This record gives sequence, C-alpha cells and structure tokens, in this order.
Amino acid sequence: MIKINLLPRTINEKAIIRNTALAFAVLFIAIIIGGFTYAGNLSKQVAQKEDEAQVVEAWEQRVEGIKKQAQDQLASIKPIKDKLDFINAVLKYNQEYPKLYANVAKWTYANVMYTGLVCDGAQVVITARTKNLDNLGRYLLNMYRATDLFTEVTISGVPGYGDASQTSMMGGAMPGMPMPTMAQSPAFSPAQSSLAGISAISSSMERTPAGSGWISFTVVCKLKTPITAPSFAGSGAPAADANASGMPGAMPGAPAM
Amino acid sequence: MSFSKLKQIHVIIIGAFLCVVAVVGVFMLLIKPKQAALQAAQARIDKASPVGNQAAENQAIADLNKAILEVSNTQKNLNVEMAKRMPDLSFTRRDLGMLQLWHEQIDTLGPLLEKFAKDKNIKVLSAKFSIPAPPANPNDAIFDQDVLVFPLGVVQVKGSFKDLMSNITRWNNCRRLVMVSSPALVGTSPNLVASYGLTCYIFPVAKGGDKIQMAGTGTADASGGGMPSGMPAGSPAGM
Repeated sequence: MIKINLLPRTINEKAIIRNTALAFAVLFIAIIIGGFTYAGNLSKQVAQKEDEAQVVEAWEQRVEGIKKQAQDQLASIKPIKDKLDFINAVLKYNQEYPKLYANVAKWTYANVMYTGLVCDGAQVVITARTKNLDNLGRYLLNMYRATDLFTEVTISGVPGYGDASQTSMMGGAMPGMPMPTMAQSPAFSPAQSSLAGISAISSSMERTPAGSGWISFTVVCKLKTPITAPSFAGSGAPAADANASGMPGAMPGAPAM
Repeated sequence: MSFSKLKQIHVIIIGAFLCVVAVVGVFMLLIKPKQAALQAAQARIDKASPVGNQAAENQAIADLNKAILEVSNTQKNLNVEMAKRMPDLSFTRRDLGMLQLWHEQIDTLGPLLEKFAKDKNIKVLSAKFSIPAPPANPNDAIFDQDVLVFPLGVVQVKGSFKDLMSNITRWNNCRRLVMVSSPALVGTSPNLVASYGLTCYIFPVAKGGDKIQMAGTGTADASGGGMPSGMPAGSPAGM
C-alpha cells in the first residue's frame, strides 16, 4: 500500500514556524533566567569579597597602627639616645689619646728619648733626642712601619756636616734597599708602600750641626684615623666661658705644632 | 499584520537577534557591573593583604615590643649615667631650677672637680678651675638648652707616662661628665708634665618650662640673659 501526502506544504510550514518561534522563546527566556542566576551568584561573590576586603583593610589599619606606635617609640628614643651616645662618646674620647700615646710608645725605639708629645687630633708632633744616628735611624724606620697608626711620617732636625747641611731629601726611588740608614742619606720611594706613609713623606731632613752629643729632632706623624672630639647637637653656647678650652695653649716648653 | 506571511528564516533571524540582544543586555546590565565590583573588591584585598595579615601583624607587634624594650633599655642606661654623672637639675620651674643651678655652679661643681683632680699617683701642678657666675635671670636662654657646657680650664700634672695616662682616663670616673682635650706631654719620664683642658657637660633632667613674669620686663617672654632691666625710676640713690 502506498501512502501519498496530498496536503499542501504550507500546512506543515506553519507548525515548523510555530515550533521555531517557541524554541527561540524558550532560548530567550533561558538566557534571561541564566543571566539573572549568574548575576545573583556574582552578587554573592561580590558581597563576600567586599566583606573580606573590609576585614583585610581593618587588619591593615590595625597593623599600620602598631607600626606607627613602634615608629613613635623609636622617635621618642632619639633625644634619649643622643644624650647616651654623647656620654659614651665622651667617655671613649677620653681614652683615645692615652691609647694613641701608648701605641706611639710601643713603636718607639728604646734608645730614643722623648721631650715632647702633642697631638691635635690629626697629627702627632714628637720632639725627641737620641745619642747617635743608628738609634735615630732605627727609630725612624720603626715609625715608618707603624702603618696602623700613621699615613705620613715627617722628620726634621737630622744633623748634616759642613755646607751640605741644608740638603733636602725627598722620596727618590730606592728599590730593593732593605733598611736604609740615615748615614747613607736615604731617600724613600713611594713604591715602598709597606712603610707608613712612605709615599707621602715630605721629610726635609735639615742637617744641623751636631751639638752636645744629643741629636734633637722633631717628628710629625699624620694619624691614619683622626681623633675627633664629640659634640652634642643640642648644645648651645657654653654656660661658662672660662679662658681655656680644647687644646691647652701657651704651655711652657710645649713643642710647637 | 498577519504572522502567516513569516517564513521560518524570518523567525530564525528575529529569534536569533532577540537572543543576542538578551545576551548582550544581560551581560552589560547585570554581569559586567558585578564583575567590576568583584575585581574592585579583589584589588582592595590585594592591596591590603601584604600588610593586613597575621604574619605582618605578628612582625609589627614584635617590632613594637622591640622598640618598647629598646626605649626602656636606653632610658635605663641614660638614667644610670644621669645618676652617676649629672646633678639633679630640673628647669621645669625656672625659679627653682635657677637656684639649683646656682648651687651646682657655685657650691658643688668647682670643689668636686678640684677634689677629683687630686690623684695620689701623680703630682698635680695646676688644677684651678674657673666657673663664671650662673645666670640670674630665670628666663635666660641657658635654661632652654639640652646641655650646659662648662669649659673649666687647664690641668697640669706631673708623673710617669703610665700614671699620667691613667690620670687622664681617670676622669671617666668623675661624678660629672668631663671631656679631656688632647693632652700635651713635655719632659721625660718619670718627670713628664701633661697638660690638658677639661670641659664639663651637664644634662638637665628637664628643660625650661613656662617663662616667669618678672617685674620690669613687661612680658613673660623676655629674651633672657642677665638681670631684668627696668629698675623703678624712683629707686634710691646709692644702690
């Protein structure tokens, strides 16, 4: 048996159009409902995140507050610390010169006698005397080796002989010369950097006539670490103006600086 | 208008258009603002979380405790030094503070230092300290200073090198904070003569408080320094 559809196509087409429209309507509604649902979820997440942000921000403020307290504490300590630091610096400063002089004494050759020792914080001026040139040479070489103390050592007053007594010797190179003696009229090379301030020696060794058996000389040593007197930031004018402060001046018999 | 003339393609186009419009509308009106709010909240969290967390708070508390301890220790150390080396001078009340300073400067400091300068191990050649008169005006600027400085003068002592060095460092044991300036040594041991200058520093416990209304100055904030001016015109002769 053969089935033949004799109905016109338009009859089915209406149903198809209706079904298509219904499908789109369903899709449209689904989009709207889905959108609202998703937006609702997002709203919950947003609320949750904002709550979290508020908590974290409050925490941050609390921590910042604690940090500020710590900074305030540290700021309040400054004037106290300044005073304490100054007191300690003065106590330390009072020990600096004895320590320096003791170190100078350590480097001093035993057969040399000091007659004056003074320091202005930047350099030490030593007036001394000895019996012979060997002692003087040994003493001078010792001082040159005091690289931990001095950057420059200058000596004056080494005696000469006759007309050549004003010869001035400045750092000529003497490579390989192990221990120059004063009798050999040594000149020191900048290359001999193992010796204290040898490169900076401007020693004008004045040849002065020998006198009463003693050779008097003056040594000027520049300190590697200058000694600076501490000062307090808040100190104004002195409360009293006694006539002496700092380096004692006009000392009888004090060596000239 | 009859829909009977619409064909399937028309329905598809219209339906698709409406769906696209719905998608765009829902996204633009509902989703996008929420996403923006979500991102903003996340950004706030990200910004605050490096500091706003337990570890940072613990660290901050530890720092605070450390700072408090440091303040406490420093204050304690300063108190020890103040008790050891400073007179109890408080200028909070300027009139009382001025009297305290008078006693310190006139009665106490000089004799104390001269007594301390006597060292049995060396011979003191000269230890005469000179301290000028203290200010007679409680509004003097000196009461507003953090530290009072007294250049005392020069001390000359005689002895062996070792004893002289001990004598210099001995000033650290004085009941006042005294700075010894660079000592100059002359002579030969054991008859070395050392000369050094001394400067005394005094930290008041408290700086000057409110200035005092004084006769003759007009206002309380006189610039200080010296005796108040403005004696009454009718003051008796011979004063």
